[in-house]
Amino acid sequence: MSFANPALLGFLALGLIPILIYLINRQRYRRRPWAAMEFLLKAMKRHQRRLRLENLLLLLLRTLAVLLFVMAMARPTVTSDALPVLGDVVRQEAVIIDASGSTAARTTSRTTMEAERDQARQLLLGLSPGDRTALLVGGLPPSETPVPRPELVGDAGPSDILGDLEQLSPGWLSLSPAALISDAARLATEETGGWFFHLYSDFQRGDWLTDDGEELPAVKEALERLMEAGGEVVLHPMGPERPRNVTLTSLRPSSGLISTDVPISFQIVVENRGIELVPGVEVEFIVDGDVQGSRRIDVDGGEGRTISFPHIFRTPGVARVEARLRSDDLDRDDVRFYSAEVLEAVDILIADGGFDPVAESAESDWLVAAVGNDEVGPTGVRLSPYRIDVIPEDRFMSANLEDSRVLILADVSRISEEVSEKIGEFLELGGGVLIFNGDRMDRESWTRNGWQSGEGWFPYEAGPALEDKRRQDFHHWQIKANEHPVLEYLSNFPEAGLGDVAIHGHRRPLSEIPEADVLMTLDDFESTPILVQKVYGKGVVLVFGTGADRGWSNFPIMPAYVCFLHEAMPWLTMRGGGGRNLALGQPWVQQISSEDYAPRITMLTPEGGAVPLALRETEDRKSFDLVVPGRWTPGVYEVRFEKDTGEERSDAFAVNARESEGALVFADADELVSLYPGMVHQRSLNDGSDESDVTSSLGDIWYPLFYIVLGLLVLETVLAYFFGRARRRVE
Amino acid sequence: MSPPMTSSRSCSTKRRLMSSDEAQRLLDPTSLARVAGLVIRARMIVEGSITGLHRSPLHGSSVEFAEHREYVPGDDIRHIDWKVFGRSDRFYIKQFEEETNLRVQLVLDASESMTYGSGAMSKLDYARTLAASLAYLILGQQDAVGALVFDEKIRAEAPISQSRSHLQDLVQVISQQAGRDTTDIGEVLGRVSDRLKRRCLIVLLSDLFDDPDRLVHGLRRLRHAGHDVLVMHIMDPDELNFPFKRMTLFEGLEGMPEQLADPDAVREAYLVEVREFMRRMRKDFRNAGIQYQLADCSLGFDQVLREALVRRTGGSR
Repeated sequence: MSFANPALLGFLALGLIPILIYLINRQRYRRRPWAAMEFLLKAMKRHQRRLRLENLLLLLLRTLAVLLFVMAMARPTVTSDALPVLGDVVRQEAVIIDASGSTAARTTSRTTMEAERDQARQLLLGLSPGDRTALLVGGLPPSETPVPRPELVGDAGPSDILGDLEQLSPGWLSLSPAALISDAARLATEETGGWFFHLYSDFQRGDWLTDDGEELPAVKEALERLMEAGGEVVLHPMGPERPRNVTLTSLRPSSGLISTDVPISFQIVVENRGIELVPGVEVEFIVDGDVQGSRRIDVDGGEGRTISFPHIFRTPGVARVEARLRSDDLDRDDVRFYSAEVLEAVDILIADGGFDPVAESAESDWLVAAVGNDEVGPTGVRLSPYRIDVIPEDRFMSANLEDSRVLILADVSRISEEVSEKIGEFLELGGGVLIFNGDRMDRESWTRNGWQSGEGWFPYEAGPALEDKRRQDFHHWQIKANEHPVLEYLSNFPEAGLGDVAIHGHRRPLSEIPEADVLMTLDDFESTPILVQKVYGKGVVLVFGTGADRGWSNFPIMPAYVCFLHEAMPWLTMRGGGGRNLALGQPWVQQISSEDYAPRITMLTPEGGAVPLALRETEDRKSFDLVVPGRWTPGVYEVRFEKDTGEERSDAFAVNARESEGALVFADADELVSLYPGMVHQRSLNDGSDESDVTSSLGDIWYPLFYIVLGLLVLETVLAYFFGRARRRVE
Repeated sequence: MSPPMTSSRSCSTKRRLMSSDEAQRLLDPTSLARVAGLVIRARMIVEGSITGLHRSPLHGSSVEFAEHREYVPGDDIRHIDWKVFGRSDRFYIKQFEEETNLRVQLVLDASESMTYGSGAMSKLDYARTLAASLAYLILGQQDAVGALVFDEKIRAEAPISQSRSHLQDLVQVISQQAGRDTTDIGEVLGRVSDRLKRRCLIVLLSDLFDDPDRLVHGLRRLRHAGHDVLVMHIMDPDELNFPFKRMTLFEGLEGMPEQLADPDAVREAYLVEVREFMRRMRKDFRNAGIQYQLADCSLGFDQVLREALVRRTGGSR
C-alpha cells in the first residue's frame, strides 16, 4: 500500500480524540449529593459490564472512523501484494485506437496517430500488476486489426499490448464506431467486471453523426449493449485544433470510353476542407508514372475546384492514371488513382431493318451520323473512337459479332431463333445491345424468341404499334432514373432538349416490367415505359420503344439524340469503367476466357510487392475466374498474365479511399457525450502534457474508505440508539 | 331534590372550584416554601383545600353519643342533630365517644437522606409541611395528635393531645431537628409501638430508604398492636425521574459511597430499581393492611393530602 499524501498520516493521532473526549468527559463531572444511592448502586452493579462493553464498542467505532478518515485523505493505493484481501479491486481499462485515415493528419510535430499512441502508452504504463487491459483498433482492414483479447498486466506492464500499440499506423479506412463499440461490448460481456474503454480518436463528425447532427442509431445501440455489460467509453479527443487540409476527392475521365489517339480529359476535383484560403496548391497529373502536367491553383476555405488535364493515349492497354497534391497536413487524401482501359477502337455493329445504302435515310444513317464513324479531324486527330459496321438485318447471322462491343438493332423486323441465340451469347459475354423498336417489328417472333416469357434477353412482350400518322397526337417523355449513367448528363442538361422530343409513334409493353428497369416513360396516363433496360448475362440491353429515325419522333434532330448515344455507348461498352476502379476492400473479379488462360499470374502492388494469383475454372468449364481479394491500400494494382508460350499481357485495377475521410471536421466530445449514453469526456491536451485520468482513482481506495467512514458513523448512531432501546426493552 | 337545593349546591361547588384553583396556585410547594411558619403553611393548606372535602376524612366509628359540636363544612350531614336545629335554628353535629378519641401519631423521618431536595423544598421540609397540615387538620376536628421525629433513633417527641394550643408544640418538635444521621425505621417503629398504649392512627412520613424487610416488619408490629397506619412516601422528583444529563459523581448520604455515572446510560436501570422498590412496598403494605401514599415533592400539598385522605375515606366505608 502506498499513499498519495503520506504527510497526512501524521494526523492519525487524531484517532486519540474520541478516547480523550471520553476521558475528559469522565473527568468533567459535577458532584451531586444523592439520597437514593442504593438504587443507583444496584443499577450500576447490574448493568456495569454491559455498559462498559457498549461504551467500548462505540468508542472503538468512533476511533476507527477518525483513523480511516485520515487514511482516506492520505489517498492510499492498494496493490494486490500489499493488501491481498482487496486483490480483486483491479482496474479494467481497455484502449481503443482510431487508426482511420484521418489520424495520419500531421500537426507541427507529430501525427494524430502518434499523439494517440503516446496518450494510450501513458495510460497503459500507469496500470498496476494485476490490472487487466485490452487493445481495440478501428479504421484498419480486418487482416491488420489486432484481435481484442484481455491481457493481465504483469510487473513489466502490458507488454503484448504495448508491442501491438507501437506497431500501429494509420490505415486508409474510415472509423466505424458502431462496429468498434460492439467489439467493446462483446469484450465487456465476456470479461465481466466493468470495463473502461479509453477511445483515442479525432472523432470525425461524419463517423459519429448524421448530416443533421443527430446520433447514429447503430452507435447508440452498441453503446447501450456496452452499458448493459457494465462498460463505459472515455473519450480522448486527439484531433488537431485547426486542421489545414486540401483533398483530392475525384479523378475521372470525361468519357467512360477511352480510345487510342482520341483526346480525352481527366477531371480532378480539389477541395479545401479547412476554413482558410490555401494558395498555390500544386496538382500533378501522372500517367503510367510520368508527370503529364501540373497546375497551381488557389482554393478558398470550404470550396472545391475542378481542373482538367487533357491527354491522348497512344497505345492500347490498361493505363495507370494518378493525380497528386503537394503534401499538406493530411497526405492520405492527396492522391487519387484511376485505372483506364485504353481501347484501340470500339466496334459497333448496326443491324438495320430498313437498310437502304442509296437513300441514306434509314435509322442506321441517323445513328452513324450521331455516333461518328472513326472520324478524324482536320488536324489529323481522331475525334471518335467508334468503328461502325452497318448491315441489313438479313445478314446478321453471317456478321462477325465477336469483335463488336455494341450491337444496335434498328427497326429489325424479325428475330429468328438463331438470331436470338447469337444475341444471347453476345450478351452473356458482356456485350451491350441497343434496340430501337419500329413499325417493322414482327411481334410474334420477338416475343417468342426474344422475350421468351421473360426468360429471354428482350425485356418485355412488345405491343402493337401506336402511331398517329398525322403527327397531331404526341407525347413527351420523362426521365425516371435521373442517376442512371446514361441519363445523368441529360437530366442535368435540359438544354439538350430531351424534354422537347415529341413521340407520336411507339410500341407499348404488354408485360410487366420491374420498376427499376424503366429508365424513361411517356407522359401519358399510363406512364408507358419508353426506355427499358435489362441485364442479361454480363451484358445489358437498352430498348427504346420508338424508332431511331424521324418516322415516329423528332428525336434524331434534337441535340439530346447525340448526347444520349454518346452516353449510352460507353455504358454499353464498359459498364462502370470496366470494374477496374474499386473502393478499399472491394474484390476485383475478372472472367478469363480459355484462350487467355495463363498459368502464371502476378499482382504487383503499389508498394512494389508481387503477389501470385491463380485462376479458378468456372462450373461450366468454359472459362476461368480471377478473384483478387479486396485491397486495403489505395493505388493501382497491375496484374500480369504469363502464358506458357512466353506471351505476356497485363491488366490493372485502381483502389481509392473514401473521399470523406479527409474532411477533418470533428465532432465535439461534449456533444457526443450529450447525445450518446455511456460516454464520458476525458479532456486531454494535445501538447503531450500529463492528462488527469478520469479513472486514475480506480487503484486508490480512498473513495471506498470514505464510504466505510460514513458507514461506521451510521453504525455508531444506530448502535447507540439500539443500545438505548435494548436497555429499555430488557428492563 | 328541590331546585333551591340544587342552586345552593351549584354555588357551593363553584366556590369550591374557585378555592381549589387558587389553592393549586397558592399551595404549590415552591410558593409555600416562601412561607416561613409551618403553622401558617398548615393553615393555608388545610383551610384552603382540605376542608372543602364533603366529609371529614378522619373520624371514629363508635355509636356512643358523647357531645355536640358546631357543624363545619365537610361534616357528614347524616350526623346533624336535626332536633337541635329545630330548636336553635343552628347546625350541630352529634359526636360519638370513639370519634372524639381519634388519636393520630405523626412519625417524621429526619434522617440525612430526607435533606435531599431538587426544588425549593427538601424532602424533609415537604414532610414537615405535610405533618403540620395534618396536625392542623386533626386538631381542627378536635381530635388528638402527637408527633415524633427520628433518624436512627427518636430525636424529639410531642405527646398526643387534643388541645388547640398543642399545635405550637407539635410544630416546634417537627421543625426543630435537622436530619444528619442514618435511618433505622424498623427500630424506631418498634419503640413507637411500645409507647402507644391506646390504638391510634400512625402516619409515617419518610422516604423509606432503609432495609425494606425491617421497615415492613416494624409497620406490621404496629398493625398487630391494633394501630391504623398510613405511610406517606416522600420522594423527590429527581429520585423518581433521574433527569440528569452530564457525567455526575453521586455522593451518597447516610454513609453510602460515591458513584460516578453517566445518567443517560444508567437511567433506565435506576428507574427500574426504583419502580421495583415501590412496587414491593405497595404490595407488602397492602398485604399488611397499611395505606400507602406516594408524596411527590413536585406536587402540591393539597393534592397529596386530598388523595391520601380521600383514599382513606373510601377505605373506611
